[in-house]
Amino acid sequence: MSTQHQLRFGVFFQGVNSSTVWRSDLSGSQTDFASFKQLAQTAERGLFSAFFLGEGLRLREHLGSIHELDVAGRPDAQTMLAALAAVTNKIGLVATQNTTYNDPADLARRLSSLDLISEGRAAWNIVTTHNAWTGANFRRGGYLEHHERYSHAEDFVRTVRQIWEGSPVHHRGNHYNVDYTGTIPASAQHRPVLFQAGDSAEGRDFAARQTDVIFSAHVGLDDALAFRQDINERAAKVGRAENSVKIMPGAEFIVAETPQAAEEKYHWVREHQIGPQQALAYLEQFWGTRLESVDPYGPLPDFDPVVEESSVTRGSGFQGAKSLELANAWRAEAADKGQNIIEFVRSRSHRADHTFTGSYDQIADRLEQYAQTRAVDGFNITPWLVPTGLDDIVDHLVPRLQERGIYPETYADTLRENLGLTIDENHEQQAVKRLATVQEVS
Amino acid sequence: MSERSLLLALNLDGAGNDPIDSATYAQQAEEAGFHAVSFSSDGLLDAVQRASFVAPKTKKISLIPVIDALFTEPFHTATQLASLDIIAQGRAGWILETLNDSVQAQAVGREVLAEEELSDEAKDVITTHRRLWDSWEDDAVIRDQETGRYLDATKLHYADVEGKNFSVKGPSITPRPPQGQLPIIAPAPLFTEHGLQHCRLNGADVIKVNAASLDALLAQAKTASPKGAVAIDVDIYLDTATQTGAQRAAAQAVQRTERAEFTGSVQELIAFLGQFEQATANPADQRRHLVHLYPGDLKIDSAVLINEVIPELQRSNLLAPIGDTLRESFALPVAQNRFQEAS
Repeated sequence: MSTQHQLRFGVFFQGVNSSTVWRSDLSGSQTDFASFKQLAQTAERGLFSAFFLGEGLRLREHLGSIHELDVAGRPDAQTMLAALAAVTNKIGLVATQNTTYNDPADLARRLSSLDLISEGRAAWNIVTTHNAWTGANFRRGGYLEHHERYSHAEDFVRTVRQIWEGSPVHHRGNHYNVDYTGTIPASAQHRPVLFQAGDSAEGRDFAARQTDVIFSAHVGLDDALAFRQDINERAAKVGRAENSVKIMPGAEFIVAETPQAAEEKYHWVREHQIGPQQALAYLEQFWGTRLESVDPYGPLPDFDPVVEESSVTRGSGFQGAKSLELANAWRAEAADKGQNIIEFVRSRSHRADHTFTGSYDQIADRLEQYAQTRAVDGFNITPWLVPTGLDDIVDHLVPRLQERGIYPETYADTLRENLGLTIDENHEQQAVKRLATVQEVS
Repeated sequence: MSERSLLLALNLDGAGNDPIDSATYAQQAEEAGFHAVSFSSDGLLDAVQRASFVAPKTKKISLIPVIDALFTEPFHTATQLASLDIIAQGRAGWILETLNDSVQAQAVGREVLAEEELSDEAKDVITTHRRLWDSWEDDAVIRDQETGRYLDATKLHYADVEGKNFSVKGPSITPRPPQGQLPIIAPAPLFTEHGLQHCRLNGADVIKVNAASLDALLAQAKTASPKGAVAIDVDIYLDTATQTGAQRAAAQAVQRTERAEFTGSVQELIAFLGQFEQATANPADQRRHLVHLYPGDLKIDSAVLINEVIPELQRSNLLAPIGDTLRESFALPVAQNRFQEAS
């Protein structure tokens, strides 16, 4: 086996947000099975480790009505992944699933089911959204307080892990009890792989205790190295080996044959992601009011926001910001950089340091640095086009990475193996036990 | 001549936990001419996921999961079923059950319901599904470059269900399924004074009757058929070269269910299906009625069904035509969106 650290790719079919271009004839359906199948099969052709689906349990709103400007309308993640299991062979199938508005027994059962259906390719991306606005779609409503978010989530994960171990579970929680014994046998990869994306100190500790892979927001090389060190330190404190928690930042790739062509593509992508209406809507979310009379090609509004805090209704990227502070900082930043509203919002929404823009060779060289320094274990790529958004990466970038020896040449059988993960029995037991301690405290 | 009314569905739980086996049986059933296959979750892989796995491997046959309505989240099951219908391009349905037992309840930290509450609870759950499925009008995705709008918010609707035990705001996170409304097959006891009977338009499409004996089952199907489409569940043990169906059933006594049981020869099964067709068919209403077969042994019974029973039913022209969607197979009208103004 080569000692060279290899990078792995995942693909995140977004289904919401402005990252996916829809204002182009190149953009296909966000809902039809054919789009999911094509993207998953392209990813598999490029030996991607994982195919990700997101989840948002309430349709996004903007200033009190349905948000109209971005793609929306996702099929259910696990239902879609079960169908994709029938048309793919090796790629991992990752479902983002919420710990507040699922029941642990039901979710454990469904994830086990997906893991067997896919012959050891399933994973759970753990999210902890807990606001009452989302709760309005569910039997329990908005039952969880903000401070309970992680203790509840960890209780939930522990319960799921116990169910996967096959022993009878009698969980007594702060909000509900669970008495259940799993009926589905373990898959070839022992249990579904666990992903998580939380980035606060609490979220990072949670990840260090519970997850196999972090879907991180730290893309730049220095940032990624610092994050790696931080996670290794947190993992060491709970007895996990160095680099045993894998890290895959979410990233966008805008690549072409030449640097110039990539640059042109970059501008095309940004123009199509954020138009004038989206730019104003972005600010409206923080200003808390309509900005119809504001010129998107002019400076940021000189009047102050009418709300103290942004609401939860546009998704996690928008919620809970202190509006006045933000407005002041943004006005200064935009003025400093000479940006008008649309330029400013484009730079905020799709940060340059989360995007790899360049020729295939340039990007392959840059990724080699990530492999050499072990800054990350790979990238979770958000394609800006569906369903053809991976074609150039698979056809041109992947072969260059393989030539450099930093990308797999073949697939192993299970997702766990494809991510270079092993089951550490010790840690598996600790993960369940340690949670018991957390539970007492909460 | 009017079209025949008999629909046939085959339960595939006997395929066990290998989805490839389920897919193979589904393909064989499709090839033979079954209208649908069904999947339940009892101790097995998830019913919706098994159906979803089979969807890309089949083209015509409908895929019907059996899902509990009491101890599940209506928002999740509505989204899962809509997604199955999207993947299967209009071939999905739902056999609704009410598994009111303490094992199910305690798994999700709830209590069993009083018997008299089941009907109202099922009504609320069905209403939630119906309203969520309609919460996106078919043309809600507009991709309007001029105004920068991907969606038209006027074509999206809050479900605003205020049930007795829960409420659901909506809209769905998943667009309207291709059938608009999936056919819902629900047990007859739920159609009581307080429950589904008072909301037929929001309620189930097919009434599933049950009885201990085949004769009683036929009588009930006959009684129910003037009110709507009818489904019956039957356990079947067909005669084989070495054993009679009755012997096979006796050998599997522990697996007996509450369903009526058929044991006998191919000719006897065909005769029974003919009686069901006679008992339920009415040229005036053109309704279709479903026989849902639970094979005692999937391998043995499906082979006889496929090789002998279905070809004979086809020769005697007893089967209803297979539609492009499950609604079409049931001859249900196009589902109008309840939120859409009549134009």
